[in-house]
Amino acid sequence: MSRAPRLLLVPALVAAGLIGVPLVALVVRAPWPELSRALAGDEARNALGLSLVCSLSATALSLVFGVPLAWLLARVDFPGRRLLRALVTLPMVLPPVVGGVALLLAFGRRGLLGGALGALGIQLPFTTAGAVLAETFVALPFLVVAAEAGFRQIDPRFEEAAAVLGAKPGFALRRVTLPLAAPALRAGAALCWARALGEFGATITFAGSFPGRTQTLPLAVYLALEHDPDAAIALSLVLLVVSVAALVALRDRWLGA
Amino acid sequence: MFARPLGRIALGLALWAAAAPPARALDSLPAITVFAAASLSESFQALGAAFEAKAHGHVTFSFGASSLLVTQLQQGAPADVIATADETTLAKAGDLIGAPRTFARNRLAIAVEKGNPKTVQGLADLARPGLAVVLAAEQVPVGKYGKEALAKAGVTVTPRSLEPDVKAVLNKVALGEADAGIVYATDVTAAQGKVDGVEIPAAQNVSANYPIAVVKKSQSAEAAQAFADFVLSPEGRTVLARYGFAAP
Amino acid sequence: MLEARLELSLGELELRLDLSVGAGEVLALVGPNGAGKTTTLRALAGALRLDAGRIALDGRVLDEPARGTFVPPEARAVGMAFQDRLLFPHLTALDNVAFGLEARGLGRLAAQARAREALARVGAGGLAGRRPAALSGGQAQRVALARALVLAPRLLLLDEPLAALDTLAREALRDELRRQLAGFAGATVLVSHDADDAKALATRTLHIEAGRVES
Repeated sequence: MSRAPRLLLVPALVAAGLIGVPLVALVVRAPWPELSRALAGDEARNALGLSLVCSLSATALSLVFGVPLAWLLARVDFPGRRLLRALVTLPMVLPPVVGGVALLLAFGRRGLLGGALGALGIQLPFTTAGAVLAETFVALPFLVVAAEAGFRQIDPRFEEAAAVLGAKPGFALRRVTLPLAAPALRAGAALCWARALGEFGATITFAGSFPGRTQTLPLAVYLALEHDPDAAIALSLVLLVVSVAALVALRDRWLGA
Repeated sequence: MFARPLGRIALGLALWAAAAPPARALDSLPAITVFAAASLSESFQALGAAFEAKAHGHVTFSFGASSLLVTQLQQGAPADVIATADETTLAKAGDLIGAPRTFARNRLAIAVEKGNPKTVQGLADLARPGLAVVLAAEQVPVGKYGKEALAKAGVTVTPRSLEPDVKAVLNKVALGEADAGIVYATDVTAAQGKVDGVEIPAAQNVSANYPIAVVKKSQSAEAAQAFADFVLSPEGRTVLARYGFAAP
Repeated sequence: MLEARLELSLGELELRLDLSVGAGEVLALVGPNGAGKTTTLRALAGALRLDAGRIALDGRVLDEPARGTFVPPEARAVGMAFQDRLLFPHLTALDNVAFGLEARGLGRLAAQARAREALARVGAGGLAGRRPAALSGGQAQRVALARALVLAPRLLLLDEPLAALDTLAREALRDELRRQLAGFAGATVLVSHDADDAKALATRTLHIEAGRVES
């Protein structure tokens, strides 16, 4: 075991405590007797189901569109690359509600593309698709950042070697680049999913809140907090358990840590 | 070695303090925190300014859904005064507050896009298929009142969204995402031309009684009481009337 | 038969080289670091494009800027063992050797069968299931060699094949290489910074420095 300087121990414990104590408090102070009542209702099940569907869809969309973008940013030198990279990471620093408003101004009824979408019969605000879009908007940057880093750390000579051995660009991508970037991609996807699952501000602003359609778990918690704190805690615990279970399950097999 | 710069700093501070407005005026009463319902945002900020102008101490506001504010109070949030949009919600605060007094009444109205392009004329129109209607969630006072009004009018509405507070409903209409929403009459006034209002006749309308109470655990009980009294005073009532509230 | 007239600028290097290697011949390029040896191999492989000049292999033009001809690396009949081996870390030795065959369209099973044979031929038959990380320097070098030879190329390029090996492994591998090169029908260009290695393996040696033949 390496000898870590004792000095590191204190701030490390503080960091662990900052995260750990509130979570432990959530579990310890949970109104366990009332939990079953609170969770039996349709509200909880709807919210959880919707949250899972939306967050997984958002992650899938992020992978499909984000990985190619990350590859472009990592491997191709084009004018405006820095600007594009900054743009893509913007949702990470933008307050989510601002993101929601921006989405409305783009895809809402009176938005930039709203008219065109309306003509095609597509409506996004107040729909589950809208909730997925809002979650993708905030979570995609996490995937792109992780994926770009993953691609960058691959020695470009491997890709050159693949070509010389006879691999066309598509073959090299599938058999060399993606497998070598896989750990980073998986970590990015896990992060992306977690972010999407917990998304609130952009979702409620853009998609609204309607049980079974757009009221994801975080929105349900916020509403429950107002009239039934016990239910709010119960729902929060559900979110916590699901997240922890997923991250633990992924950790060893997938995140390669 | 430090004397010179220190001396200059001290001189600077003295001059600055002398040039400052008479400290006495703002220090007569300690600062207070007021929790108020979202629909009281504009009117209470005006009341706060008037209160401070009378040299009565600094007021900080926290606006939000009434139910959320009461929950926060129950969890120990430091407030000195609390004013909600309905009596039932405030009653949940139980022992934490002194006797509540009604200081204003509010009625419901339908907020529509500026110019009323969808020609909404009453609650019955909200049931029109294809109309994007947004309501507040039932757990929020205005949402509960809205449901009552719709029941009174015998109208069934399928809203696109159930927002967590009245300002969110208003915003959806103001941004053009929703065609109509049920809000307070005061919200339409406060929106200052960003939305238009459609009146709901008295027979269908619901009156919201707004109570105000001093928090018992307040560290500045005197200042808190002074603010509550000010809100109930004729001067306070005039300010509230300007924003569309009716007398209690 | 390789006929190449190379003119290439890369960073500070200005490469001006004329090469001609017949079937069965082994040409060694010897020189200090930065002389342009690897750059030459990369240009012959197609990883770099010429600024001017011409590369022709068995009469087929691979690169001629003046005429706008350029055959991409994956379409050239070239087999290369790279500097630092560059075995794909996520594949077994067998899959590494089979890679080029699969890339060129051969089915997985057939490719693996040929790969097994190629590994056996270089004396690395028992290493098929191992990952590159579990191979010693000498073993990895044999796998890299097999990966190049299995493609039955017309041109074999070897970049520092004996580098980073201990004396024993070096001796063994030098013998192995000599055997393989003797049985190889195409042209070979070999790069080394060690003149002795070059002498032992090549039929002809060219000394390069700063992109040109040392005069």
